[in-house]
Amino acid sequence: MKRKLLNLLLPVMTALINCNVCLDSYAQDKANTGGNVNADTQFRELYPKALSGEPNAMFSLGKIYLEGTSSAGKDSAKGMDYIQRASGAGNVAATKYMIDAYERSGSERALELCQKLQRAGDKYCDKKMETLVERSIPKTVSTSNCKKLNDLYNSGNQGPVVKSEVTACVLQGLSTTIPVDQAMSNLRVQAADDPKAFAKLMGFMLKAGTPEWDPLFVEENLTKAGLTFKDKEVKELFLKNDISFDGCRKMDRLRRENLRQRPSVCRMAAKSGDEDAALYVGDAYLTGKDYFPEDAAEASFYIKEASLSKNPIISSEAFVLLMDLYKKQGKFYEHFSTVKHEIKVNSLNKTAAFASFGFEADYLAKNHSGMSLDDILDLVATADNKDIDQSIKSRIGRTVDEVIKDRGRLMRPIEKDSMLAYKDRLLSQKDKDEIEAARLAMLSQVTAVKAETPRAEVPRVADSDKKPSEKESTFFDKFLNRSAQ
Amino acid sequence: MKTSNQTSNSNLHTNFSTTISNFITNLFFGLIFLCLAILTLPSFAADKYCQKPGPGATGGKTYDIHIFGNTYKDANAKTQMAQGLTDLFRSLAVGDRVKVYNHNATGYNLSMDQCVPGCPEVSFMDSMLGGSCSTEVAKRDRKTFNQRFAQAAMSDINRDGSSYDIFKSIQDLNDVYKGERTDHVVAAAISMIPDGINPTDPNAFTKFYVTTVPNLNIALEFPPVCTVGTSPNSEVLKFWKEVFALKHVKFDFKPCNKE
Repeated sequence: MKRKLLNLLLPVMTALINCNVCLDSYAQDKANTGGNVNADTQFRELYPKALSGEPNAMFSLGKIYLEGTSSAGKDSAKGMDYIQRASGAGNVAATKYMIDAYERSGSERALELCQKLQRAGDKYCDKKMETLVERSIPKTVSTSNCKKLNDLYNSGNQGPVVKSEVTACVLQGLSTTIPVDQAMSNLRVQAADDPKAFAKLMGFMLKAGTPEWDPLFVEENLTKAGLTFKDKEVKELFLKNDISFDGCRKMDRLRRENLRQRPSVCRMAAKSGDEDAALYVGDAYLTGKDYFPEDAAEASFYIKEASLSKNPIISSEAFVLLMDLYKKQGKFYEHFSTVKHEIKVNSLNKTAAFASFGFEADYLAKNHSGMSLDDILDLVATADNKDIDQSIKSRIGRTVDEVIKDRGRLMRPIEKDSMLAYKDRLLSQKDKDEIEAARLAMLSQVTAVKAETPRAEVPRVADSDKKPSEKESTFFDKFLNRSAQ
Repeated sequence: MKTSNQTSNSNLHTNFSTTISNFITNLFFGLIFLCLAILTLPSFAADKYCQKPGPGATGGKTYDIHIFGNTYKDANAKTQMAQGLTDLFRSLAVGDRVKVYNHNATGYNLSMDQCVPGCPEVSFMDSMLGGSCSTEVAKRDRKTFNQRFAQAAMSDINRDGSSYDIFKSIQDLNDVYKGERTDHVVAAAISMIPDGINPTDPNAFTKFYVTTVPNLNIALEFPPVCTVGTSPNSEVLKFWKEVFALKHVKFDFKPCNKE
């Protein structure tokens, strides 16, 4: 029995031992062949060649290091070192590789290498040159930078960016690569759709006393170029060139060359956020003074700008102007809603709002038939305020009768009663006495006329020709009256 | 007053004392001489067989045998080493000086420096004039020499599979000479197989190359070296040829027994 068991176990144990040996061997093989065998083989072939300075080998080895495909692992510093050396030894592929790498990292070395390739007649960089130039161009205009730009321009890089920068250098007197007239012309062309170029152009066109001075051109084209008057860069330029209310004020308004330029300076100051300028321009447009044409729409724009001021003096002055403007434009609803708002928020402009309420009174007297009853009731109710002048209240109170007479039975009794109640509150005793006196005078006049004239037979008229009050009430009328009550 | 007897007794006593004293002094110096003689006996034994190199002479060469026993892990490699050393040993001639250097992980030591015992062949006249070499003594010394050589050669062999750095071993060999020229026959018993690398696996060598060679910092300037028991595998030879070419080292792997 034991022997049988041993006979069975022995082969199993032998197999297990063999298997263990196999596993060890497998593990060793795996350890030995870890990493990319091909890359390792390539590495081994390339390494001695690279050490001996062979450019192609240095480039290929550098890539292996960068990609980390071999057992040597990834080593970017070594990789770039080999590729750099390959490029230095004249390997064009390595140079292109480095250009791409530098381009990705935003390094200026990309441009240097591209210039080197260009000099050698290689067209690899032709498409990317413009971008590289743009990236590497210094933001400040200096003698050394202009020299660098001149070199780029003269070596055939005459794309928009280089052209623009060379133009800036010429206009600042740091280069003579192109004539000044041409530089100015270049700048105007570039400025048409390039905000940066326009900003540069502004620097010249806002400088008083120079031949290029033309604020009106700046005003007309600034937004077209993609800038706004409130851009930080624009505001800085305005400040530098006295485009402010002060600058506008100081300019001689009667001088011929200023007739168009001065309003432009004032407008630009206002648009850039100078509230004093906005108030002045709004007023000027409203009244048509200082060579500003009378233009309610323009006035409205600037007055609204000024009315948003945090300076209470400016905002209250602007409010008065705004009320005048609405009045002038016949914008009853804008005027009325502004007044209501000021009353509601109890602002500093409330007094001015009450003072301007005469416009509402006049408008009601003239246009009540076209107004909605709700608006009329709202107006009458608003007028019932102790701060509104009595003369205004009286005008409104006197109009109430006309409204009731005009609307007649279209008004519900409750509305009529409400109107009459307000009328009673709005009219002073003097007004009431005057009205009563007038009514009595009218009555006596009518009585006298009736007494003098013989009574004529009233002609029979068709029911349809009768006035509504004269019609005999039908069942339908009775029903309507009942439901209205 | 002293008598003549007393005087003669006294003289006798004085002579006896002087004699004893001289005897002791002589014995003392004799013992010192004997001790020195015993202490210097091996060198006497070594030097007495040494021959000066000369034209046509069979002996007289000096062999520097460097044993890197720890680089032999594999049983096959150990066999190769033993075979190589045996071949080298056979090529030694009477009167050759043999210096055995044992290298290990911590450095190296000179474990044997002895000339190959044996009586030189002499003419009949020379033997009649009384040659100093005794054939019997030489045979006995040769036996001792063989034992010492075997012991020195195999003492530091890698028995426990401990790891080693093949590049360090090579550098150690270099450091013995430090760039100096020598007219000795320099033999190196070294496997040349990097630790843990299967010498028949080219991929393993490639990987080892990629991971170690670029970071290798060794400066080598050898005298001409012949090898003993070095792996004959082509991958091993290829690897070292590449490495030595990179480091501009002349090392042609010439086996010592194939001159």
